[in-house]
Amino acid sequence: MISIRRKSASSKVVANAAAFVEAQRMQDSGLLAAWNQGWPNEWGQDWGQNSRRIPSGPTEGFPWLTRATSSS
Amino acid sequence: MVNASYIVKLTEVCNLACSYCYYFKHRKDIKVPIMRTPLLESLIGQAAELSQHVWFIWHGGEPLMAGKDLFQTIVDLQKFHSQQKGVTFKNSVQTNGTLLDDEWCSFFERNQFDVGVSLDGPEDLHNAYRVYPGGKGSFSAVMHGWKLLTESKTPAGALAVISRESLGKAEEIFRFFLREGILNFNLLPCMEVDGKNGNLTPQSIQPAEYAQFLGEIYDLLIQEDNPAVKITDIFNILVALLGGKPSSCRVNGTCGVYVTVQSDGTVWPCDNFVGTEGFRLGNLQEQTLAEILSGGPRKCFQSWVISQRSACRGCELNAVCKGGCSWRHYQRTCLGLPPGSYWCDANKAIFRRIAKHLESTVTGDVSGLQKIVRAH
Repeated sequence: MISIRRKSASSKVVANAAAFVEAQRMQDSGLLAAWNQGWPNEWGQDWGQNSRRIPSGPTEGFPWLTRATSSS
Repeated sequence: MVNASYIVKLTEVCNLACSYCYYFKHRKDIKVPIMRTPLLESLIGQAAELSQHVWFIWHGGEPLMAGKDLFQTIVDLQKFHSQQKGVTFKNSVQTNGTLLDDEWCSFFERNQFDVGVSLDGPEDLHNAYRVYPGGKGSFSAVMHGWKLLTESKTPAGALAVISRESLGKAEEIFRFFLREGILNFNLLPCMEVDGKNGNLTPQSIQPAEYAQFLGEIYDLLIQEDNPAVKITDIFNILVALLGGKPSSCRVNGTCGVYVTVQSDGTVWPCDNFVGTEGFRLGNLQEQTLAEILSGGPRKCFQSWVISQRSACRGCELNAVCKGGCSWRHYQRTCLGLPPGSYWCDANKAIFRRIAKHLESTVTGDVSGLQKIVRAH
């Protein structure tokens, strides 16, 4: 398994995907249950859902975590 | 509880006559042009019995030809089951976009539908194949529909078919989507095997050509450096290579989760297999959904999927592509090609290209990436 310890800032696209993967790992550990709003993990990422559930924006950290949990 | 999402062929008819349409070959066999309300009621009710969360992807033909009343019925039925059983429903619709009007957009926005619009790129490219029966291009109508969708703030994305016409035009297509403010899109390769001669159809592209095309798009995406631009298949590959769980069944090993229901109730393992002899799972007019989902034909399909992946053992890509798409394996057998070739070659090329870029971009344990980059 590929493990990314630290995200490089040289590509925002890659950093965004890496942040998503880290968020998935947190979700697996239960921390992102609120973010997922009860949807099975594998359903939450398709582009259609993504446009609503995972806003684009800052690539460092977990911008959607704060936004989603505060609204749920 | 069964976790399954449903692609529903609400209609088998379409107002367009796209010359590369993979579904066109089924048109002569259409028995029920639009799904009848009792069957729809039964499908929604049974799905609600089986799962706490149900995702419907309304498909066709052209699903909007089913009419607004039928879509309202869908929403009403779902509300009933939500209230009765606490079931949550999610709806997506894949449309050619030509029939969208203010009323449709308002309906989708109000009822939280996600809308996918088929749009191949700039006008000349789109109109090369996506035409009305008389041959007139559909580009203007689609763009009008897209404008209404965005004005209504309905979550929407585009799906572009990459055909022979698209080759060499990666940058043109990429820039077109960005210029039109379409930041969420996917690129679907046109790869149809002609049943008569066993060759790819003239509009189709070879897997290697698709890999080259997607690689060019990846480079443009990196160059653009805008994380708001989301190209589903590329995002999924990135997620897979970074050790995450991609959503696409083409790279996450979960084949058969997008069960497809035709308007006459016939059920198939996925949209690609509709009408393919030997892959029919059952019919909702003869069996219950639970019987079909746990029945012999579905188990046979699962065994077939596993058998197709036997060549994946020992492949350096297996950890990230998880066996790939079973439909591509099926096409490979139709073309008489050996396991590990055809789509696998394309997958290896594109994964390797992206892995090579990641290797120079990310820090941490990149040994997995190195294995992919250096494998032959």
